[in-house]
Amino acid sequence: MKLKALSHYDGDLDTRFGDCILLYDDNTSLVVYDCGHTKHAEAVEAFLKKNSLISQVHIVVSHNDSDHTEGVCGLLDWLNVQSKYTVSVYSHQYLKHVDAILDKIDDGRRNRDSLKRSLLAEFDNIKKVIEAAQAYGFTTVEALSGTSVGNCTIVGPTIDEFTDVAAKAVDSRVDNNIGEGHAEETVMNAASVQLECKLDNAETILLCGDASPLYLHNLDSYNIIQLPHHGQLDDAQAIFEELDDPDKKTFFISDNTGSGSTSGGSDNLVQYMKDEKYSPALNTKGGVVILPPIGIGTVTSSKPEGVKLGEMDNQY
Amino acid sequence: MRWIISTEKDIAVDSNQMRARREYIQRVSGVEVSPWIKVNGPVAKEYFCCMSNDGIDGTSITAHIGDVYNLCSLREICSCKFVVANTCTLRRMLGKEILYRMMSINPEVELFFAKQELSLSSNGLFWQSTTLINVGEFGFRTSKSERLLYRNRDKGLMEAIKKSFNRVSPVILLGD
Repeated sequence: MKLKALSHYDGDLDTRFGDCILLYDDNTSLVVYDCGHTKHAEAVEAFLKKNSLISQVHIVVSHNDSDHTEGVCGLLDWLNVQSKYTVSVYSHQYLKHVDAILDKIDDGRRNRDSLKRSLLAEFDNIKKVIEAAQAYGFTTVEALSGTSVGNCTIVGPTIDEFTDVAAKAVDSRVDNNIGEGHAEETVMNAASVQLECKLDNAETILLCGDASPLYLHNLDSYNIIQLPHHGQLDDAQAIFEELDDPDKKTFFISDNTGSGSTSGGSDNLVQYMKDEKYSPALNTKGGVVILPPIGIGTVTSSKPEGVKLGEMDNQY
Repeated sequence: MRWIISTEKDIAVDSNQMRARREYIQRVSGVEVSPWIKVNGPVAKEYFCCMSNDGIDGTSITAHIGDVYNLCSLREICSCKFVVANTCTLRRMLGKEILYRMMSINPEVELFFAKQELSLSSNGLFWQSTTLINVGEFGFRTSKSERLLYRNRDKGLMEAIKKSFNRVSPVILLGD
């Protein structure tokens, strides 16, 4: 597959465009992982117009935050008007797990109906997306681990993990974070849907939205890892610590956070990686990221073999 | 601390990489480092050597295992408090063999080996190896242990070495 991670527009580094990552491997289907702004939606539409043989569109909503969802409904509107696409929308469907979430809250004050209302209020953007998709007759798919999305696969979080998040999100008695230390993330971000894709050069990439590092598993099995939450330093440090040999990985950051004082972003991480002599991450802050890099064919692009410090010493 | 690097072209490579290595040593030791000089080893071979002015009585050697084996027979090396061998252990027990030879000269000496991975040789045998690869922005080919040493440098050089390299135990344990 090929990956195209969208960036900012017209040199505008102030606006928070949020995330939008396209994955495509042939002329028939497109996976859209998040769509955080109407500009991104327009870019996806232009991509589809240019690739007119595409008939299947899979849209993954990683989590509820607007910088991941803002452009989705507009994109669904456009897809509906075109009436030539088979569209599937993948997201967490918390209402299907009300009983499990109710067990986890166990505050004696809620019943199923009041919990449903709380979940719909808390995960309001996902609610809007699902309602719009259903209104247009598009398929809505629960984003459970193991679910295929075109030629990609959802690999996390587990049901237990995202019901934990949902329980914490609606339970006012507990703090609003998942994980500890470096791995701490707000509940809304923590259970972002994670997507695994195999690229044309046989390298495997993990996309993880704003997921908590605590919920990222088997990290050593990926060649390319998205550093979550637009390149937040603490999350990245937790991932580096988890990896056996982080220098052997390629890191990717989707940072279109703009210039707002509370926008976050990857600046601290970029400086940290420079100080620690990591190879710079691929970062949408510098423009659209395309993988595999243009010019690389379908053969595996492996790192240099290096020098084994025993090759000349068989006598020992 | 003394830092010895093989003069083999696949390890020392060129003057740029040697300059980057010296800067690396300066960063991990946190002190001034002398220029590289060539020193004679056993069996008429030369090595690059520099000293970091940190007061630590140890020697780090980056070389093929055969060179490390020979260098560790030198009284001058064995008389240090410890040796860091940034090389392959090739096979089980070779690390202990080297340590025992060193202990016959200095019973107190400690030996640390770079972290190893299992490699498959061309004749189908598995062996323990350390590979210098060009990853990150170090400016020279590094082993996994060297990269770890850099990332642990804030803990102090001795603590960073203990975290980044594996200490060879003089005791033979089940599984050795």
